[in-house]
Amino acid sequence: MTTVLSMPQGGNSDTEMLASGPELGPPDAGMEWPTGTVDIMVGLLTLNNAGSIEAVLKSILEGLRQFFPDASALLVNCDAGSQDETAALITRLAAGIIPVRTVSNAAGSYTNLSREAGFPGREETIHNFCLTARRVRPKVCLIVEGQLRSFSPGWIDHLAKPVYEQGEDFVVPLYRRHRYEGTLATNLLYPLTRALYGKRLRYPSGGAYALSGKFADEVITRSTWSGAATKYSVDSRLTTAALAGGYRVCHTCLGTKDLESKLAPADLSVVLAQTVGGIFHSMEAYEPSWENITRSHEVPVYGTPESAPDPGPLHTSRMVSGFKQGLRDLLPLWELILSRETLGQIIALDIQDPEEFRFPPLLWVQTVYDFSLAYHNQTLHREHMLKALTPLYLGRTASFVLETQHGDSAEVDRTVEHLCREFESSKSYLVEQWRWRDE
Amino acid sequence: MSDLWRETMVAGFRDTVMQIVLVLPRLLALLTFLTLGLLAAWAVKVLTQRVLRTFGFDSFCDRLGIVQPLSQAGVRRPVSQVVSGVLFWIVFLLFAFMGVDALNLQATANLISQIVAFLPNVLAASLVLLVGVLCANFFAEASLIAAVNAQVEEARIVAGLVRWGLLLFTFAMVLTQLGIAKEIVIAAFSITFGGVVLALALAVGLGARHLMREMLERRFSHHEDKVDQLSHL
Repeated sequence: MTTVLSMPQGGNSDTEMLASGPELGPPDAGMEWPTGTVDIMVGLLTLNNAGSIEAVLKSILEGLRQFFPDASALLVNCDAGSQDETAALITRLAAGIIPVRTVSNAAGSYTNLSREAGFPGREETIHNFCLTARRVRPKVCLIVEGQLRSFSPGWIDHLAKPVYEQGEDFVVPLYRRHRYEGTLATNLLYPLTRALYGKRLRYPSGGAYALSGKFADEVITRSTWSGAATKYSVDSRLTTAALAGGYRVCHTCLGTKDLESKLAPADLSVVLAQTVGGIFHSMEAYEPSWENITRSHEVPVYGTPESAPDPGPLHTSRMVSGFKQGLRDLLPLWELILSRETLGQIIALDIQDPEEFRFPPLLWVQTVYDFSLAYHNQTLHREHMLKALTPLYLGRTASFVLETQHGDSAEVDRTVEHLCREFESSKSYLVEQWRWRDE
Repeated sequence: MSDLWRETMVAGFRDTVMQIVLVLPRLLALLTFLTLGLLAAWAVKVLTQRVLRTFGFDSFCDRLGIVQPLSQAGVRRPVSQVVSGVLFWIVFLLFAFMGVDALNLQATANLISQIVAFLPNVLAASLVLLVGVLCANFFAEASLIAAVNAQVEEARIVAGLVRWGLLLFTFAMVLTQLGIAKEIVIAAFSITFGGVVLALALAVGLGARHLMREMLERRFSHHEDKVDQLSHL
């Protein structure tokens, strides 16, 4: 990946092209990175956010002034190639208030054009931010997406304090969401990572993060930025790196996540392939870290989680019909991926009445574990295999909604908890099969 | 008169015996080549099969998607057996051609050199066929999954069209490479391909324009998101 830097002199915000290369280039004479002297480094990830960036930047500056008045701070604008003067606007607005560095993705550096979340080039901006953190060695690294319109000054405190004062390494926000938001996270990503690594850390949904300087340095030294790993979600890579590396992880409660997105949402199968594929890929990379874990533990939660109002009745008929079509058309592929018992139970599911459709939690756990084993065994082309999971996920989601539609948020939480326990109790099957296939 | 008769008889007998004496070693050479060919081919077959099984060639082919089309085509044996069988016949035929060449018949003169000269074409055609079949399977599988995930009812038809379109293209290339009825193959392929494209254009433009408009509207107005009402991540 080529990195083009622009750096100010001293604490001002001038812009100058400096270097290109696989890592941050050496600064020219008279231009230095403030190494080892920065307490909080805020990374502002942008792509054509001129419309919303002023409010976000003001909140960041106000948060730093209000909650960390004595801490030295540096703002690093990691830009993915804005064409609307976003970087210049940030430099102008922050001039004289905070030192600013701009690190731009080089043209043509995108490794993953179909993004699972955020914006194209987001992964490279996070990579550039971590490279900068390695150079600057701050105590706290904050990552904030420029499109996060709902960012408020208090979020700086919520994100940075667990690292700054409590010594946490990776802070994942919990947003105010309604009970059915993030069904892929609640039904697959969270239970799977929890069963694997033994930490009850909810799958991150982007927007903002806080990392310790130590963890940011660790992330960049790992081989998660090259090879097959780059095909998968950067959020998944950060999360598994923290969990498998034994870093201190925690949640912090923020408000509503409101993103200014000018792009159409990514296709569900792409999202699924990138996020689930990221976890499956990490299972191979961190095999010794998860194989012997049998129980899970809570992680600290800073603040009080809130639920958004109920979204009202959800229509599941389209999900059930998606599952039905998968059962009709993808059966030959599922025969290669799933064990005979699992497939037999899936075929036996009653799909006659969409309102009565149920996909039992244990069957879903077996399905996910069989897919992870098939991924490991390379039974099929990996991307095809991951995308072939989509109809099954739709079936499970429909069942999840139908099971809990007459309950409240607590009912949904109980269902998710029950599913997580099924994932944990069936892990021995995964480990046994994984080892058997390795022999 | 009797001397002439005797000389003629002796000469005829001598010539025939001479011819038989000349042909017999050639026939023996043919038989030897055939026997050696059988033995060598059998050895190659057994050795290939063992090596391929040792390296898990069958499961590798399974992953590449070669087994499924072979099975559909009626070849239900493991791929390692198919490969070793093909090698058996190649080795045996090579020895057989050597034997035929040893007969020194006018009709089979230069047979081996002609076959050797044609071998590069056969190898290139085999390679094209292999790559074509693999591509056809890969893209058919990809299109099937994409169509199912987009909830296109005719997903299997779409995948079938992709598979057979690519196979048709591959067969045309293979036949062209082998030099078999080149002009006819090119003409037939052009007509078929052009016909299919024209038929699709007419079907979409005339027969299914309303359906296409609805599909495009649904695609670009993100109607599906409203239906699902869920943020998955």
